[in-house]
Amino acid sequence: MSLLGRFNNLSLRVKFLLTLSILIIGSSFLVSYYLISKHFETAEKGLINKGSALIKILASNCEYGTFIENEIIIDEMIGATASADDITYIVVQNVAGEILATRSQKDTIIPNDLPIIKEIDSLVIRKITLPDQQDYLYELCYPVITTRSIVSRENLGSVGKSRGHTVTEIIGNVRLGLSTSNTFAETTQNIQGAIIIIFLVMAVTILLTLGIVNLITKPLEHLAVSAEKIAMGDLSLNTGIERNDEIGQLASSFDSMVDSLKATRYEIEEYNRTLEEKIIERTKELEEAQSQLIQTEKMAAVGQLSAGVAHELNNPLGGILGYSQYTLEKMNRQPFVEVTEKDFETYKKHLRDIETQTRRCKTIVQNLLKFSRSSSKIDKTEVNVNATLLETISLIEHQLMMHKINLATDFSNDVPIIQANSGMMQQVFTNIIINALHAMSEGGNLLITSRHSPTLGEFSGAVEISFADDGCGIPEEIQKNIFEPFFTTKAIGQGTGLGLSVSYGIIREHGGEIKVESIEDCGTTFTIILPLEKSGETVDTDNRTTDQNIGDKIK
Amino acid sequence: MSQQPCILVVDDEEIIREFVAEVLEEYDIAHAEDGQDAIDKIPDVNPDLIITDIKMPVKGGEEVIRFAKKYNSSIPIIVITGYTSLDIANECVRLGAIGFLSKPFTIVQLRDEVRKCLEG
Repeated sequence: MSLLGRFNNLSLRVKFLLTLSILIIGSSFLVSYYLISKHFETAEKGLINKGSALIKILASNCEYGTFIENEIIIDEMIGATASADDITYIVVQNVAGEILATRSQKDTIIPNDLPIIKEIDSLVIRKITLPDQQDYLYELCYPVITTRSIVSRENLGSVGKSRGHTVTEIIGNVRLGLSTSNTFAETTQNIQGAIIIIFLVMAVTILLTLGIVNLITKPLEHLAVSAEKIAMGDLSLNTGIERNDEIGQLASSFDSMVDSLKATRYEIEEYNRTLEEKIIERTKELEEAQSQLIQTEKMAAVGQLSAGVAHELNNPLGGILGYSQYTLEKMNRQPFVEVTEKDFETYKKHLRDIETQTRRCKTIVQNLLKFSRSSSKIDKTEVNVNATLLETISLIEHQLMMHKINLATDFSNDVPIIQANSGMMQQVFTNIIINALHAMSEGGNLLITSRHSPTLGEFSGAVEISFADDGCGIPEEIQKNIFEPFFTTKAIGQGTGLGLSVSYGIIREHGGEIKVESIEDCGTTFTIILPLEKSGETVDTDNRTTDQNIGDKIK
Repeated sequence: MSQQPCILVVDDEEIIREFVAEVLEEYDIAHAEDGQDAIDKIPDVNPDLIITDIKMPVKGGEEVIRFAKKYNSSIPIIVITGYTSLDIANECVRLGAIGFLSKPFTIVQLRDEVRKCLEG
């Protein structure tokens, strides 16, 4: 990863601290370096200026001594000066370069490699390092000059103002060795103090920077944590930052945003809750409407069945009424003592017939009631499909017979028990049979089969029930519409147009499907597939009836 | 002893046939289980009265009436049915039935209807 990339990955606080510290330290070093350099430069300049002034005085003072080349006079002139701290040595030479007088600090080897200066007022300054000393020193060299008058022969002996000319000439050199040690030691001492102060200022500045950075980043970190918590869905927190600066404004905006989010979330929750309530309400209404629809359709089917049911009831009732009247009449006519055993047996037979026919009535009424019973929701119980099919047939068989329809059944005895609403199943079966009946207005054949299809469904297969008629069939172009509500091919008043739609709904509610295959003028087969739930049980029944003709079944 | 009038009782309900036979024990009763059975038996039995149900498997009461009237137009016919619809009664009358009994009927109604029909 590049340096910039690494830097970008650092936290804001570290970035701030790192940047500001580098800037502070860097600028401190730069300023210190500049100041120290300047300080040394100034100290050197001061030393040289001081030396320059001194050497000019010395040269002037030594004029006479040098002129006469007297060491004692010269020594007297330079003695006081040579004892000064910064003076390493003072050398006075004649014009030939011979040393006339010298004063130096102990054991100082004085270099003697400087040529005699030939120009008046020429100050030579050079930087040298003595072999026995660490610090370098400045050597200043200045000529000793003298001025004398030249008198012409004409003017010799004249008194008064006479105009001759003067000559200024170099008679020697003064060399002055200036030590930098003292100056630099003092400067270094000053600089050390300054460096300590700079370091202290730097440390304080960094600490202050850290404080300021914290002042900025801490609330930002707090805001980041808060934002993270908000992202996790916790809207209960508040930043708690109360400041008047930009951070405070940011925190205030953040808190306002959280409040606004809270309000929005509450609104959404409220809306969701209302929506949920509305959905529940609508679903309930829909379920009620559907239940009502199922019941309406059921009642319509009951209406269609009623004539047949009445006929079915009137037959046994005819027997019951007839036999009871007839027996009563006979018993009324015949004194009790004259009742023979044969008569007694006849009465008993009549009573048994009455009982049998009454039971028959009871069964018919029960079946009808079971069929008509309203159920607001799907109460599933264990349903034996074959038994339900037989019950349905018992209600409708008369209708089939009247329409000259031969009913054949083929119920497999391994059909498992299913979880279903038997009343609804009966309604579906009735509806499909009534449709078949209408499709065979001139009579025909209807085959009802049931079987277990292990390969269908999610768990233990499915129960497959089919109703195959050889009626008029359904034209291909309307096959797709037959399950639509209010779609009917029957004349107005002969059907609700809801039968198959309701049946479809019922079967879908049971997780199953209902399919139709039809060829016009050949017949139609409706197939109902009811998937089994987790464990399917097999019906232990002897209901298997194969190719049984309606004439054999209906008495 | 004068010969009893013969009545052919046609109904797919056995209990109705038996009950009618017992109530009309003074008559000679013949049974037919359905319309086809009745049509088969009419020439043999030559009944004086036919009591027939309307809705029956194979062949219904209408066909029995048609056949009977074709066989002997003077045979009185009483229709008994579990249906209460007047349309059916009208249809039967149109075909030639002269009596109509709606199930369940009383023994008095049955006897009266039979008597009326046999007495002409």
